[in-house]
Amino acid sequence: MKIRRQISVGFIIIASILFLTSLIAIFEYSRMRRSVTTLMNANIHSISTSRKLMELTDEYNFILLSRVLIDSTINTEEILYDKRFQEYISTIRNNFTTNSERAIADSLSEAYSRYLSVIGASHDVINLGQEAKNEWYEEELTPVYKDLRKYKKELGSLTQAALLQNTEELQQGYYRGIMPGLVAVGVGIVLVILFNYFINSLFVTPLQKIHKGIKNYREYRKSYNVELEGEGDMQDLNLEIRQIIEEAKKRREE
Amino acid sequence: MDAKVISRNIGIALLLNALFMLISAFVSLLYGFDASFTPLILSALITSLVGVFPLIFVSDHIDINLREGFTIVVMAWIISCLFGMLPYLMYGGEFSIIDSWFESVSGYTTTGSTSLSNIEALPKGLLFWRSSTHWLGGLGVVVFMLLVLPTASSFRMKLSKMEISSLSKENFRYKVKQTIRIITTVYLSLTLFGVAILVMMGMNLFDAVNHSFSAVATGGFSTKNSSILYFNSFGIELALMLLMVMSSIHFGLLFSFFTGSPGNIFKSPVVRFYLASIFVVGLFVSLNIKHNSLVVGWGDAFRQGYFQVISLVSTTGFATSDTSIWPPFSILLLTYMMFQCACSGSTAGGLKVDRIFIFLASIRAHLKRQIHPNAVVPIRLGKHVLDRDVVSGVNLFIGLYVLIVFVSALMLSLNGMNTLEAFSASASSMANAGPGFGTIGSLGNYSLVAPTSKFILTIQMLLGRLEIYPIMLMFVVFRSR
Repeated sequence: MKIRRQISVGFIIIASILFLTSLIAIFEYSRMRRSVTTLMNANIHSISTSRKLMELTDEYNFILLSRVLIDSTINTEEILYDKRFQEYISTIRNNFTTNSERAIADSLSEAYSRYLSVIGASHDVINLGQEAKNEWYEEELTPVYKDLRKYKKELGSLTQAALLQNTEELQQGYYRGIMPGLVAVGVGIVLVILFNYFINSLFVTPLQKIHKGIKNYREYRKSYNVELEGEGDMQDLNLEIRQIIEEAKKRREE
Repeated sequence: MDAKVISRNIGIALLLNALFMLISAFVSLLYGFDASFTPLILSALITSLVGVFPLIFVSDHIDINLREGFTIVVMAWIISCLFGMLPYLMYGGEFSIIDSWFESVSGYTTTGSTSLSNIEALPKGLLFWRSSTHWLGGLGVVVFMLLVLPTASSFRMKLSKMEISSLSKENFRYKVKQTIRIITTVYLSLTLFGVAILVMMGMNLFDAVNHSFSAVATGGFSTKNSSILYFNSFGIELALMLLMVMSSIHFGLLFSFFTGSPGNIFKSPVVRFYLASIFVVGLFVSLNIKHNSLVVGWGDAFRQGYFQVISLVSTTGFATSDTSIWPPFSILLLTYMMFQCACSGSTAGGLKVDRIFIFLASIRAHLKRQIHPNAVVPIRLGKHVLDRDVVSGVNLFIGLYVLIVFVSALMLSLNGMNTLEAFSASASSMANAGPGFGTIGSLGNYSLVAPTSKFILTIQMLLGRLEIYPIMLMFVVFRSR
C-alpha cells in the first residue's frame, strides 16, 4: 500500500472510532433523557395520586365520623356518588408495570366497594342510640376503613419500591450509556498511539536513515548502504537514491 | 523484536474475534434484536477497526523469529480476552469491569467458571458470544493464527508445541500443516456431531449449539443456571459424556479412529490409562455416594458419579449434581482428577494424563535404578523411549504447576476464602476445569468471590491454558531486551 493511502486509511479508522464514539454518546444520552423524563413523570404522578387517595379516604371518614358522633343531618350521599376515588385508582392502574401492583389495585378497589356498602347502611344507624352508633362505627366501619388504608399504604410502598427500581434501572442505563463511549475513547487513544508508532517506524525513521546516509556520502564520501526492510514507497525511494549515488560515483570515476 | 510483526498477527486474531461477535449479533437479530445486539455490533466494529489497523501498515512478507512468536502467542490470548470482554462491559447488567474480564478469560481459556448468579437473564446473543469464546479458545487463537502466519516452518512447529503441549509431539509425529488440518477437521466434525446428537436427545437448537461449543472446547459454560441438571435427561447427559470424552482424547488419534485405523486409539498407553482412570474413579465415586445415601438408586449413583468424573477430568465443568455435598472421599478423588485431567493434543487443560503417566513411569524407573544402580532403565511412552530432558522437563512442570496452585490458594485464602474453596478454586482455574467446591461448586458460581481473587484466578486460567512456560518466557524475552 502506498504511503498516501496508508496514512489516509489510518486517519479514516481513527475518525471512524471518534465518529462511533460521538454517535454512541448522542444516541445513549437522547435515550436516557427520554426514559428519565418518562419515568420521573410516571412516578411523580403515581405518588401524587396515592397521596390524593389517602386524603380522600380521610375526608370520607371525617364526614362519616361527624355524622355518627356529632351531627346526624350531615349528608353522606356524596361519598356514595363521588367518582374521584375510582378515577384515581384507574389513573394509577394505567401506570402500573408489575403484577403485584395490579393485584394491590384490585384489592384496593374491592376494599373500597366494601367500604361503600358499609356507608350505604349508615342511614339505619343514624336513628339508633349513641352506644349503638359507636358500636357500628367500631365494629362495622373501622375494619373496612382500616382495610382501605392498609391497601393504600401497600400501594404507596409498592410505588416507592418501583421508584427505587426505576432509579436502579436509570443507574444501569447511565452505565450502559457511558461504557461504550469510554471503551471507544480508550480504543481511540490506543489507535492514536499505534498510528504514531507506525508513522515513526515506517516513515520518519527510514527518512532519517536515508538522510543520514546521503549526508555521510556527501560530506565524508562514505558508501551509501542504507537497508530498509519490507516493501513500499520508502523502500523504492531508498533504492532510487542508491542508484543515483551509484551513477554519480561512476560519473566521477570516469 | 519487531512490534510491527507482532501487531499484525494480533490484528488477525482480533479480526477473527470480530467475526464471531458479528455472528453473535446475528443471533441476537434472530431473537428479535434482544438487548445484546447493540453491545455486540459495537464491539465487533471496534474490534475489527483495531484488528485491521496494523494490516494497513505492515506487509505480510516479514518473517517471524522465536521471540516474536512467543510474544504473539501470549499477547494474542491476552488481547483477545481484553476485546472479548467488550460485549459484556457494554451490556452491563451483572457485569462489572472485573466480572467482564473474568467471564472473558474464563471463556477463552475454556475454564467455564462464571461470575454470574443468573445466567438465564442474559440475552441470547450474549449467551452465544459466551459459548463462542469457548469455541474460539478451544481451537486456540494461535492454531487459527498458524493458518495465516507467514511461512516459517521451524517456528510453526514451536508454536504448535506451545499450544497443544509438547508431549503430543513425542507421541505423534505429524507434519505441522497436517496437524492443523487434522485439528480443524476433528474440531468441526465434533461440533457438528455434538449439535446433531443433542438435538436428537431433545435439546432445542440454540441450547444444542451452545452446549456443543462448550463440550467440544471442554469449556463448561451452559445457558442454564443449573447447568445440565436443568434438562434432567439421561439421553442428554449420555450424549454430553460421549462428547466430553471424545474431545479430551488426542485429536490425531480421533482422526485416525474415524479414517481407517480405529485400533490406534486403544494402542496408545496414554489413552488406555486415561479411560481406565475414568472407569475406576467413576466406579469409586458412584459407590461412595450410594453408600452415603446421597442418591436414591444404583442407576442414579452411576449416572451422577460418572457424569461428574468425566466432566472434571475432561476439564469441562458441566454439572448434574452439587458435588460440594458429596463425601470427602469423592471430593478428594474429584480433586485428583482435576490435577490429572485428559490427554494432550486435545482441548483439555491441566497437567494432562501424559505427564502423570511419565511421572509414574519415572518413579518406577528410579526405583529400579535404586535396586540395580548400574542398569540402564529407559522410560518409555508406548514404543518411544523418552529422552532424559523430556522426563525431567515433565517432572519440573508438575512441580511448578503444583507450586503455583499452592501459592495461588494461599493468596485466595488471604482474600477471605476458606481452605476448601481456596484450594479447589485454585486447582480448578489452573486446570481450566471451572467448578470448585463450596459456594463455587458445580451448581454455584464465582459471583461472591472478591475482585482481587477473581483477578488471581484469571491469571491462573491463562497460565494453565498456555501451560505456564510461554507466559514466563515472554517476560524473560522482555528482560533480555
